[in-house]
Amino acid sequence: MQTAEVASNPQFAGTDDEQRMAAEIFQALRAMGRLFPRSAPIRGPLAALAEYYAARHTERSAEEWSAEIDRVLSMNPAVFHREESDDRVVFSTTAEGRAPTFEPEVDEAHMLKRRFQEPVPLPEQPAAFEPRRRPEVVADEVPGEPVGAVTAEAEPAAEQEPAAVAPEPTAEQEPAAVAPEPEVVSVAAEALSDEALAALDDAALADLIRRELRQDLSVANFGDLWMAEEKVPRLSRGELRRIREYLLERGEPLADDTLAQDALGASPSASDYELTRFALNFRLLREHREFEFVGTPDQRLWTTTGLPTIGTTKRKASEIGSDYRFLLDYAGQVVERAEPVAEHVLTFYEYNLGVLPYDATFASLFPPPMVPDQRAAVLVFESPQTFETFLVELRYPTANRGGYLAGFERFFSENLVPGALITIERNGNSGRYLIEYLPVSGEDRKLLYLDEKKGRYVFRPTTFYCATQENMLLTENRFPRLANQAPLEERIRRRPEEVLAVTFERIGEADGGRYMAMLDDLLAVANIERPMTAELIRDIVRSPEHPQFTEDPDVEDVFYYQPSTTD
Amino acid sequence: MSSMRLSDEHLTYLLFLLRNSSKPMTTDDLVRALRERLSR
Repeated sequence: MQTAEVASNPQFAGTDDEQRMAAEIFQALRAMGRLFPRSAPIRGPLAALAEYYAARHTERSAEEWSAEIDRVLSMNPAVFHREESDDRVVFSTTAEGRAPTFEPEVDEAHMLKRRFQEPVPLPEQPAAFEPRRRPEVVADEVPGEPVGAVTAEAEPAAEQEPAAVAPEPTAEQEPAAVAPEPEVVSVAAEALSDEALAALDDAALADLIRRELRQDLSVANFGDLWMAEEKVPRLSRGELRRIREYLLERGEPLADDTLAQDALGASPSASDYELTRFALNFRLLREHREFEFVGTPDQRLWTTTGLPTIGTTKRKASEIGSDYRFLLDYAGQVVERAEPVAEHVLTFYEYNLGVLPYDATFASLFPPPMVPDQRAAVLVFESPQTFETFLVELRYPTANRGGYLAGFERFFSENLVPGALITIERNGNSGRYLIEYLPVSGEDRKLLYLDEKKGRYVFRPTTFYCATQENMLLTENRFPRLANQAPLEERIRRRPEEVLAVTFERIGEADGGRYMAMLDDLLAVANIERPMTAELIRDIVRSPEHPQFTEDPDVEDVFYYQPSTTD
Repeated sequence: MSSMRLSDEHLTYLLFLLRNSSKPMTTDDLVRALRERLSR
């Protein structure tokens, strides 16, 4: 197909001669740009146009025609665009016979060719982030140079010492230099010289090594053991299944030794036994969905989903954790004890649910989490007085739940009463403990119980054979008004100050519209509903947020509660 | 303490020890090995 060019002949201003001249020059320019798009500018310098015109009209020279052409073309601004640059005049038109309209300049700053020429500078690395350079370890690189190379390395290190010290004086000079640089907040970790490293004590050096190796993904770590990850054998699907089935068959958390020997068939006398056990621990740690580590450094126990839970069924674990939430506020005061023994007086709440608080006293006795994000540790408790052994779960504190130990329900109910004094002692191993009480000849009292069928507190004649702390004993003589009281609703029980208010009403002496009670009584009775410590009660009473509670100015630990008149 | 780190040379040595050990090593093993190297 052929397309016919639509030729347009513009109208020119001026006399006939002038119009002819303009038309002729227009034709010349259009011939020059015959392959141009219709609206693309066709440019011709005035000098070139004059020469062209003079060649066809020889009666005048090019210079003489030049002024005439300039004048005539300038008379037709609709067709010709005149521009002056660098002392020369250039006329431009388009094939369609209109003066070209110059489009706004295109910003080429972001065009590809420009971007290739001027690459965007890389963003600066934040000073705090220092990517750890993985040293290239080649197996025969270091051992090839047993002694000579080490001494050779030591010398340059010694030479570098002044250089390593050099930054310090400059740091000291900086304040004197008037221009301090407070914006330098994070300081990159400083590599220790041989001398500085040798000066560290063993514990600090061990901490440093732990911190460094934990960052390295090529290093496998479990507890205090380290190995190159690539050398740790992997567990097959079948092996994982066998471990899980064995745990379910035995129905309780099992130690890594038991699993390695019974489920994987490893022999403790085999040379690679330690490696097998490490592999089992390290690999199971990564199987979060099916396995959970619940051990301690000395007793590395594993559990799996589907095993019976340890602890009470009377109250959800999360609710008990929330009850103990206040322990998080008192957590900073862990006492280092000379002997791994702790004494404790049982409260009604603890007795009823078979729990103990993971408070500052017990936190110093029981091991901290052994692996990151460890939820719980299963501990073995032995009672030499009753010849029984049972499992207890230590639930570690979380961001919003306090820690506690659960699993004493049966032991407490068979042997103790609320108010009993117990002793817990580490049995030579961070996973095994002895629980003892002081046996006494039988004592008969009417003690408080919760009748769960009726949902009421009742007093029952009880004979018990354990030493008790009198101020925590809930006897009918002390608190007769507790009989037939109903346990508090959950929404009241969640709030320590409301529980304290109810406790005042239950046991306090009415004194002109307000109640008076002593700390010992409040402590024993408040713990019927929820765990509360003497410190917590004192803090609530003294807090300006709770003006309904006041302290007796003269007698220590005597408190008052003024119920709100609007109630 | 937290602003200190092992030099690459020491870290390389520890990694070398781990790679050439057929058994897992304890932190104490590594501390001893590093001390021995420093004393040479």
